[in-house]
Amino acid sequence: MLPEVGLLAIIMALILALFQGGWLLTSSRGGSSLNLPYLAVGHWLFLAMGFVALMLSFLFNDFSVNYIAENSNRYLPWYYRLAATWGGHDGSMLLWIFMLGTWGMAFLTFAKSVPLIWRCRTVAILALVNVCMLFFMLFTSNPFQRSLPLFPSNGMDLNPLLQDPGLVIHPPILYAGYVGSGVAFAMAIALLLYPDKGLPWARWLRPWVTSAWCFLTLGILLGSWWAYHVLGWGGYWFWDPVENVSLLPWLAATALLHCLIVCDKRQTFYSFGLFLALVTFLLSLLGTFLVRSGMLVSVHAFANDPKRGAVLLALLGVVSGIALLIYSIRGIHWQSHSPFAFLSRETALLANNILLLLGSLVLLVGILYPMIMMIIGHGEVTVGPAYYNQVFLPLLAPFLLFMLLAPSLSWKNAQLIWKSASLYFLIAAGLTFFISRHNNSDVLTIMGVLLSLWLLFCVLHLLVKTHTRQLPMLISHMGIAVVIFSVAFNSMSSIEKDVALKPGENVVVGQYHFTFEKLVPVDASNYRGMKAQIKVTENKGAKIWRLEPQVQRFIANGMLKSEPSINDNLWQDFYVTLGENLGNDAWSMRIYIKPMMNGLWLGGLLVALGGLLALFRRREPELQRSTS
Amino acid sequence: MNKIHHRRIWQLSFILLGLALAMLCILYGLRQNVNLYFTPTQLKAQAPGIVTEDKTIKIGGLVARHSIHRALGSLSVKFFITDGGASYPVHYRGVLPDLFREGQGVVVEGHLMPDGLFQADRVLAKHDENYAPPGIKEKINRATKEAKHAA
Repeated sequence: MLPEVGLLAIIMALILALFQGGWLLTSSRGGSSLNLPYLAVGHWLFLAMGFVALMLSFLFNDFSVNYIAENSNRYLPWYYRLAATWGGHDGSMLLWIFMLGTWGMAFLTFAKSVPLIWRCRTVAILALVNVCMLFFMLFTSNPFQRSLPLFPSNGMDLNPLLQDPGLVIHPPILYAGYVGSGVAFAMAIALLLYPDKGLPWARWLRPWVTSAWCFLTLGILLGSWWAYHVLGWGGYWFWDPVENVSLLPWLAATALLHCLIVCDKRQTFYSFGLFLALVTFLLSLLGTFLVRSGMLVSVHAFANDPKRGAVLLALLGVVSGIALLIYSIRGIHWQSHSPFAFLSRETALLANNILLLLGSLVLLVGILYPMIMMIIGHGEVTVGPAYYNQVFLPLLAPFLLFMLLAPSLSWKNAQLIWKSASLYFLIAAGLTFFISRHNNSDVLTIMGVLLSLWLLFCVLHLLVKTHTRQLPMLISHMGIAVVIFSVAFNSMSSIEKDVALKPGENVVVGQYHFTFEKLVPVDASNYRGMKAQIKVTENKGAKIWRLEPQVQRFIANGMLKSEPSINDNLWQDFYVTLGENLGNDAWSMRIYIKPMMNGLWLGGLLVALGGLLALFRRREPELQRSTS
Repeated sequence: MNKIHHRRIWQLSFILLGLALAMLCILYGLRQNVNLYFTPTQLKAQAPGIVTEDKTIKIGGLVARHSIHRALGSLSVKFFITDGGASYPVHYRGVLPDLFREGQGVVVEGHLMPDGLFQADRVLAKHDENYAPPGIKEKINRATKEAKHAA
């Protein structure tokens, strides 16, 4: 019963979304008999109903539904059963659609400073996007599909790698970020369709872009954290296509965020801002679709139906085609030519936006190249980390330099803090020399350490000197500096070692002794396993850390999973993955010592925190429009 | 041709020039850093020409049945990677991924030695146990079909 209710609700939501499209057509020709806010509320309520129906079906173990039988299991704890709702393709599409509806609803309700007509136009365009997605979901991947009358008595279980608290919240947060950029997209389309240069649209959009960007930042951070804690390879970023694809919209959203500041404060870069708003959402779509299409050669890729992939890409083609066509015809109305000095904040922001777009281009080429080569029959290739390290990371150097400059440059004309900046440079250079002397490091990591330290000092200087309005921005920038420093330092001085150990034996890694004490069996509700108890001691000194990596065999499908164990002593993580029994009582283990991992997570959180603070900052009074 | 047109043309050519330059750099970086990916059959057909010892390549295939050999208590492991047609011996030293087992789809990354042994630096198995590396499913289907025809 419940799945049918859900399906019906989704179909109703689709119909109401179509009516919103109708409103858009009729309202431009003088008044419409349709009431858009009611339609939008109904659309959202039906979507919520559908989503809740699917969640409840998961909770009640309704294995007559194909999707639930494939992704859940009776013995799964209830919270993972709920999270399994978005554990596969069909459910994550529904989550995506529900999120889009929710963002539209939130915009309609909370964007009080935006005139109602503009809110309605934006929401109606969002609904049109949802129409495409709903059609796609209903016809190719209906999560409510039943397999009556014969259905399994138990499900195939959620993929064990997904049974982790990090992954329970990762997809909703990442999707909230992806989809959140839809608000800016929809409003940009509305502005292109009904051009009106006098509107403070950049001001309207800023909080919405900022909140979507916060979600994206947190989503990427969580994904990285999950990979580090679950995959057992000691890495947090593999330059894997699935990861890169989530970085694409983040880069574009970062550019958009900064561009909107210029649009808002200086009434210039309008056309560029609208372009970025379109691109950010299109890249989000690309991200979702590429991952879902199964066309990526990735370690995170799950087996997928290639037919769906073709439909998804066609859908992406249609949406981006329409959006860019509208831009190329109407964008010209939004050209603006306010003059600004060469050495000004505008220049620095523009330069960084171009660098961000260039970075996206580098990623995009790396992601698409293997697919293109495959399609034109040039054999199969993969693009490895070496490409990104060599082409993407060098872009960070000028990027950090402009990040240093921009906040200390005033609008329009130059006013620098050269003296203190050069002092900080000397300190940073000294520290970098000190750090890199002891480690094996290449030019790139040294540059990373140097520039991130320099940026960090300058940001701290500004934090002390300037007034609180800039606080959110400075915190985010500080986060970026901390992240880059941590990454560079980590890549300089991580240690990795594969060993074979018997109980009682020990091995020296770096300055630490790792002792394999004993092996203990583990018994949980949905898996059985073995746990190795490992003691870590310093060469000299009495400090002891304990690690307990496990291997788990899941009862439902016999899948094996190793659960790495991580113990951090603030500055560095001890990380051990248990492998397999090698015979003769010996077990294979992979031991890592990874410094500054806490710095990485902290930096990422700071970046997001800056965005959050910006949302709660008191708005400054609107500029007099006549003076611009 | 008014002033705005002039300006637009300049802007446009500037942007295009920049884009072309960026693409050139990107493609140059790409050319140096792509890893070729083969199924064992493709590798057998192309190996003498393209693949040299110092080139990192990837092979995607299945771990052949009854082919995993490891010295007792040691990290060294040897197995055959196959796609139903050709197969290659692979040597690896280290911890294998969780999903590694006979019949499982894996991707190995490393170097092909002159004696035909593949020295793997990394062994990857996907998160999904139903996963087969690209090109493998079709090849196995074809191989079994051919075997049926022959019989």
